[in-house]
Amino acid sequence: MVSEIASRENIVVEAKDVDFYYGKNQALKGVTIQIIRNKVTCLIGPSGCGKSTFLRSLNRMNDRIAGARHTGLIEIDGENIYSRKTDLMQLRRKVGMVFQKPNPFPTTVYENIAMAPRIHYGFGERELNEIVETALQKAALWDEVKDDYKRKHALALSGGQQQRLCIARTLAINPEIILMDEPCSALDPISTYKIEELIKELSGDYTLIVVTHNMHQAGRISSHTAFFNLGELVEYGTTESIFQRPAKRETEDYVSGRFG
Amino acid sequence: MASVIGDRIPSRAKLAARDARRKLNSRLFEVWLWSMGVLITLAILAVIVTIVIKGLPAMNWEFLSTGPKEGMKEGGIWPMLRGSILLMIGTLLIVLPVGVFGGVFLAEYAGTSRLVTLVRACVVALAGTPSVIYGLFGLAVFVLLITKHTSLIAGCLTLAMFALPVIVLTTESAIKAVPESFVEAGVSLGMSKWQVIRKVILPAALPGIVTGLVLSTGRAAGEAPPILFTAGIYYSTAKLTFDLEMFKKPVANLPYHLAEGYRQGSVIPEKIIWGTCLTLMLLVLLINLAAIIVRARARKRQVW
Ligand SMILES: Nc1ncnc2c1ncn2[C@@H]1O[C@H](COP(=O)(O)OP(=O)(O)O)[C@@H](O)[C@H]1O
Ligand SMILES: [Mg+2]
Repeated sequence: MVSEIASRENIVVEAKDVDFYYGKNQALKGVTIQIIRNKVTCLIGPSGCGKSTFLRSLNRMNDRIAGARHTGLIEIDGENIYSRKTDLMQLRRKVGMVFQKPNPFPTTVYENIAMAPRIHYGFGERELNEIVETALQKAALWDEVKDDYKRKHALALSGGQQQRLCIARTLAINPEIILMDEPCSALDPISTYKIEELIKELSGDYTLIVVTHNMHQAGRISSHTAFFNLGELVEYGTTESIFQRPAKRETEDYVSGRFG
Repeated sequence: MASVIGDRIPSRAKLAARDARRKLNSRLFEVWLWSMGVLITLAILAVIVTIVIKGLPAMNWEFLSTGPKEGMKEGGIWPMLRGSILLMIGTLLIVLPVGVFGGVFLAEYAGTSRLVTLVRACVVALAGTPSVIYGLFGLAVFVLLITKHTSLIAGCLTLAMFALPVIVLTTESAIKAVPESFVEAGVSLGMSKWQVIRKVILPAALPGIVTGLVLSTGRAAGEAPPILFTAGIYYSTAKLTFDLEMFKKPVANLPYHLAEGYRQGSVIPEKIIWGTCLTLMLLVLLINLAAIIVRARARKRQVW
């Protein structure tokens, strides 16, 4: 699928024939996909179809679930991320994640962002100041918190601001890929709009893979869309083709709102 | 159709009667709850008021800051107060690392194997064990095997044994109460398990951990049985020193003094005993107050 992007260096994530199981329950069936570098790819599909499972297998968050296992191959930048050589901590720094419910740490805005760079790379005060400011600017939160971000408690921010803080937090360790699992589903329309603008802004520098159950959102923000149903990748292509000329009946029914 | 529904739903008059009965019931229940609450408060107040009234005449700065005189018949209780404070600090220094690491281990590393379940059950049982058992354990192990006579360090170790199970359990539950979403955030930022524990879980669990630490250390400080056989000494006129040697020496302390005071044939006047009682109560109340303040300040920041 997606023939127009065949060039190898454009592909950042490649999954081949991935089956995923929670115990006996199979959540993914033979998923094969190539995700393109520095674009926004949306994963859509009815709830329970395996979008989150696929997303969380890309930074191996699924490793934490007892009884979860998979077969097939997942490569990032041509490297098997489930190989024995994989440095798990490093993988997760390279593949950042933003969760459905904003989950800043219960500390100051500054500390939320400074924590990971300090722990991982031992930066000092001066470098951290720069990192925090840049991350806040990139996450379009700087203007709202610049006066008191060193003192302000993260949980005193609004939901939308918290979510942008979570994005800033992952930007601070400069990931290549940012995974977002329904990042707007807990937010009001204005906050949603701001996050969507931010996602568009970030593409070009980062590969964004965004799960959404909102098809209009997928249409607004993504260049490519993957439609999942019942654990299978039903159809994948440019967002325009998925919405305008779906090849499969299932896809057409879903994007036209007839089910899901 | 209408008649069927009409038959099944009781008339408004019937509903009103049932409603009135239920209102009366909940009214009675409320009255009962209130009277129990008042009763308990009165009982506690009675204890506190008695001790305050009887203890106050003895209480003044000199009472707290000087030693006994005239063969215990007069003077103050500074050596005992000092001993109790030392016992408490020593105990805290032992339980802080051991209890917190024990709690972290149980919550994060031990898993759910049968052995761990058994260990956890034992810790729960130990938390409910009477303190006199710890006193005898301390006597058998710390005193008879190690120091050969009662000493501050044996007392601290025994009190630590007594306080540890509760601290391990409160630490474990404070850690388990940290929302999984914080842990996920740490993991997703590439932190190792230990980094997540140190930088995310422990700071978030700190208020609960500190509260548990302070409360159970304070509770231990007021217990007589554990130190009766391990640390205590009937007041001696030996000079008080602040050095490492003091850990090896027996130490006078408030609960021991009280126990002695009530012994048959004791020469200590009643006024001094009540004064000691009041001092011990104030000491424990002070510690609990500290725990309450810590928790209240943490609550304000804790929004999840
Ligand atoms: N932690 C888990 N343990 C067991 N089953 C799970 C777990 N997470 C998801 N599942 C199952 O896997 C399937 C796919 O779930 P998920 O990937 O969360 O779907 P989606 O994100 O598309 O709604 C569902 O049937 C769900 O019940
Ligand atoms: Mg999901």
